[in-house]
Amino acid sequence: MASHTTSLIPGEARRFALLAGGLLVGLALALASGGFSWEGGAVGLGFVLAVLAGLAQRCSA
Amino acid sequence: MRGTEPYHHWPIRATVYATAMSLAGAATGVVFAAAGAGVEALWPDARLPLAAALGVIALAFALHELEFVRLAVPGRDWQVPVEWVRSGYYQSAAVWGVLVGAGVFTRITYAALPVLLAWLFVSGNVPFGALAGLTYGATRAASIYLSVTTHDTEETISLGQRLMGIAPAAHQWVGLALAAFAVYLLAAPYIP
Repeated sequence: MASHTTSLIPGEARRFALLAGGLLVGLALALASGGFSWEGGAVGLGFVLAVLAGLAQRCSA
Repeated sequence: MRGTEPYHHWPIRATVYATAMSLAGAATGVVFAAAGAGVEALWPDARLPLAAALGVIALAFALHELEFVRLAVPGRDWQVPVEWVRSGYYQSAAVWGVLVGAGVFTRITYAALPVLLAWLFVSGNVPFGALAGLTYGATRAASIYLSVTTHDTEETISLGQRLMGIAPAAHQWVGLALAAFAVYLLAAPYIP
């Protein structure tokens, strides 16, 4: 289980803003992918996840 | 990572560790993507429903990373036994790098890795699996070179503590990325 705690997060508003931001970015990318292969966009997002997963995991060691 | 060997050997040991970690990440990516390719060969129409299911799972883990819900991140609590990395200045770095870099043997703190591995499986694209796994391993290993800036054990411990201090923000960035990935998987295949 993740070790993060609510006390370290500035507030509810920030979490809602991050969630809304992520949803909007995903929707914008989906709309932008119209006419192209959706798998290609998902491959690109996969690399973003790979970088984040690698960097973030180091922060927990 | 520094041992009793001469200090000028340390960058070589770090590179052995980083290379082992990167290659292990690539191997894990290949395994997941190849397994997905096998499933696709048996069930050619599987990709869309699996992508939609992964979108729902990614959204749930985005909510977890942003602390709206609590979920158990798939992973193991196994730790590399000390005796496995006790001998050999370079050999121990390689063993440690392989076991940790594979990502599936030890504890996973962030949901980004399980979602990535699931996407490699759904994609069934082996070259993508290799490159994405390599990217994961390399970025995870890269911070070892930050230790070049430290001069003693105390500074190295302080560096580790500073990295751990980034964890809350890292969870939030992962949450944002997972939310974007989830919506993309749920919407993009159906937009003409």
